[in-house]
Amino acid sequence: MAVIRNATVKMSAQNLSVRLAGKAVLDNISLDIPANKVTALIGPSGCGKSSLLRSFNRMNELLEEAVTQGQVLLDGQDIYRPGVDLAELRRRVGIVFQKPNPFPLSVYENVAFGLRLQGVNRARQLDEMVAEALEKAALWQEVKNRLHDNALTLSGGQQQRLVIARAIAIEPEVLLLDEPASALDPISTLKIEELIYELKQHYTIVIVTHNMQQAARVSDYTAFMNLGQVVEFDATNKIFTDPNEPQTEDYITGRFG
Amino acid sequence: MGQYSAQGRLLYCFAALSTAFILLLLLLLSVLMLSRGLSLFWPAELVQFRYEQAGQSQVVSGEVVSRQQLSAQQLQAAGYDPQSLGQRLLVKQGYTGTAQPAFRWYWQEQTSEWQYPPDLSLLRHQQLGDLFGVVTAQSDSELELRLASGRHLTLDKADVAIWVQPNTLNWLSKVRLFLVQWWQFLSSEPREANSAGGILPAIIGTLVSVMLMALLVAPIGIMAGIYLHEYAKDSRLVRLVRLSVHNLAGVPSVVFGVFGLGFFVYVLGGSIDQLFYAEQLPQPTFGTPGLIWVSLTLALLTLPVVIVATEEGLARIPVALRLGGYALGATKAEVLRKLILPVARPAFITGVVLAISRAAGEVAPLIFVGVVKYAPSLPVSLEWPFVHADQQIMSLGFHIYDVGLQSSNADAAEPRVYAIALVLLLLIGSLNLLAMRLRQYYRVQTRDTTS
Repeated sequence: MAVIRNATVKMSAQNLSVRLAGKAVLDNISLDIPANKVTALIGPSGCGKSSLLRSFNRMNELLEEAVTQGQVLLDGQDIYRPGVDLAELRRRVGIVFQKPNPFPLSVYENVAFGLRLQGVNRARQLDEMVAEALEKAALWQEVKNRLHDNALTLSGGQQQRLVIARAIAIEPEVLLLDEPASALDPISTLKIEELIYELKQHYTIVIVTHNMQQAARVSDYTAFMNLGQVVEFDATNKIFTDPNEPQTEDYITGRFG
Repeated sequence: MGQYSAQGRLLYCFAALSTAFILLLLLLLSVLMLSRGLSLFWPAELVQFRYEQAGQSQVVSGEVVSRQQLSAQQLQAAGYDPQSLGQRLLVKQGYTGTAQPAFRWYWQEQTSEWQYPPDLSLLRHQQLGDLFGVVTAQSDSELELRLASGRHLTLDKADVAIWVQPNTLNWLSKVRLFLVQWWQFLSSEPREANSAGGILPAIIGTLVSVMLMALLVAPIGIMAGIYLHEYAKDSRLVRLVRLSVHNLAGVPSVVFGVFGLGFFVYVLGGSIDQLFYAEQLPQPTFGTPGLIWVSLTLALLTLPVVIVATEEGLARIPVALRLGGYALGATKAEVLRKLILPVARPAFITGVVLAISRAAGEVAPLIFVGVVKYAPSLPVSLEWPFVHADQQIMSLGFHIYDVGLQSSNADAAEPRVYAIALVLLLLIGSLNLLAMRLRQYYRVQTRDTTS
């Protein structure tokens, strides 16, 4: 699409339609996700933002009966073609959910979980990679003395950053964030936003958010969705200052949704 | 508004009353079991009195077990003179001669000269049971005892398990005697057709059969639960299977006993005999009721308990935990093995212990498949193969039934029934306590897992 400038396309949905439990939630969507940028998905509740996000690493089919038509390309390859290794796909496209879901293990083991799955077992290598992931997630300073405490003893904001650290420890190419800060207090939210800003140097990030200011602050591109369709997709500046569609303007200025 | 709050108060009252009622019943149960069960071994005061009946006079000694007040109508119906009689006493007089009852009723009005002689002894003899009398002479190996009737008995000291003079005991020695008697009760074999002696074989039988059952039911039940919850698609067939499993819990347990006899003992055991023990036929080795069939029948009986507990434990695990695992590129097997099963382990343990508690109290099905009134040897020994799966066993539940209803001496049996029931209750209670401990331990484990 013409709207993406100075960036390659990392992922791309092409004529994507999804039905969950018999109900159409995405209707013929086409959308490009630029590499090493933050793309925000905004729109009223039930517009299909989260479903679109989850279709990027085939999480939909874990939740309920999902029927997907069309294609989602990752580096030009359709992830819905037969014979795709789902575990491999999800290693390349990580996801963080709205509610922090740390495993009932220690802080260390949470981060090491994905690494161990990949066969990293040497203690020193693990230690280094865990520390690096926690530093990237801006959590190292807070937990370096309690790595072996249960992760559930951390605060909500720390838990969410731990989940992000866990996701980036296995070095995915794309990071999907599903309202990562909506369950957090303003200070934790600020930290998560700073983190997103840091992370976009290395990762392609797609973030779903209900918070307009957040979308404006952290994202480079924004897609406004409604009723299972992408209404408008453009650079964030353009969307928030001079949207093409009146519907987008209504939503952003709070007259609708 | 007022109407609604009145309804609410009514509901509250009924709910609270029901709870109070249940608590009261539980309290009654424990008080009854404790008092009756424990009093069996508390040394009672010994009495001696003169009894006159039909012109004859005799001296009686023993323990007064209970007193009963009869009304005039009852006396008249039984053909007694309602004016002169009223209260009667049940006296445990022990062995007084061959074919004499150990317990006898005496009319209170016809007794006289009540005494509490300090030299009156209680002797527990291996063959004769309890004896009350005065020891008149003793040598290194023998005792001479004078019974209340004046008869003299010479007893071998080796046969006398307990010799005390309860009327001279102080409180501390009574406690010591109480503990000694309890220990003998728990650690010795039954005598005299289960009406005396201990219950060790029944305790061992119950424990061994239930442990063997746990070994059988835990892997099968937990695996089946995992399959039904994690792998089986929600099809009509799976729903049918699940329904059958749940209904299996409602099948009367005696039906399992019949099935165990018909299938396990005759078909399975018979085939084993033909294949491996053919030289001993027609004498059956496994084709007869025995420990292994008891455990298998119990395992079948408690399978639904374990399956349901496993499924419920898995269902309680938040979806977010699974999704978190999948999101990191874990396969289904990895998510199950590394995340779900460790977190659900307390539920599995709960299921197995619930099964054990249920099995420990079963009676009806076991009579068919290998529990007997009296087993001459224990199912465990120090010789290979240590656990003798083909042997018949005793169990606490059946022992209660046998002592309580099949005993020729009802008066002696009653307190024993309470004591055995108390032991069974304590056994099941401690198993449940163990389960709670294990659950907590594993909860802490999953919380503190480190590299």
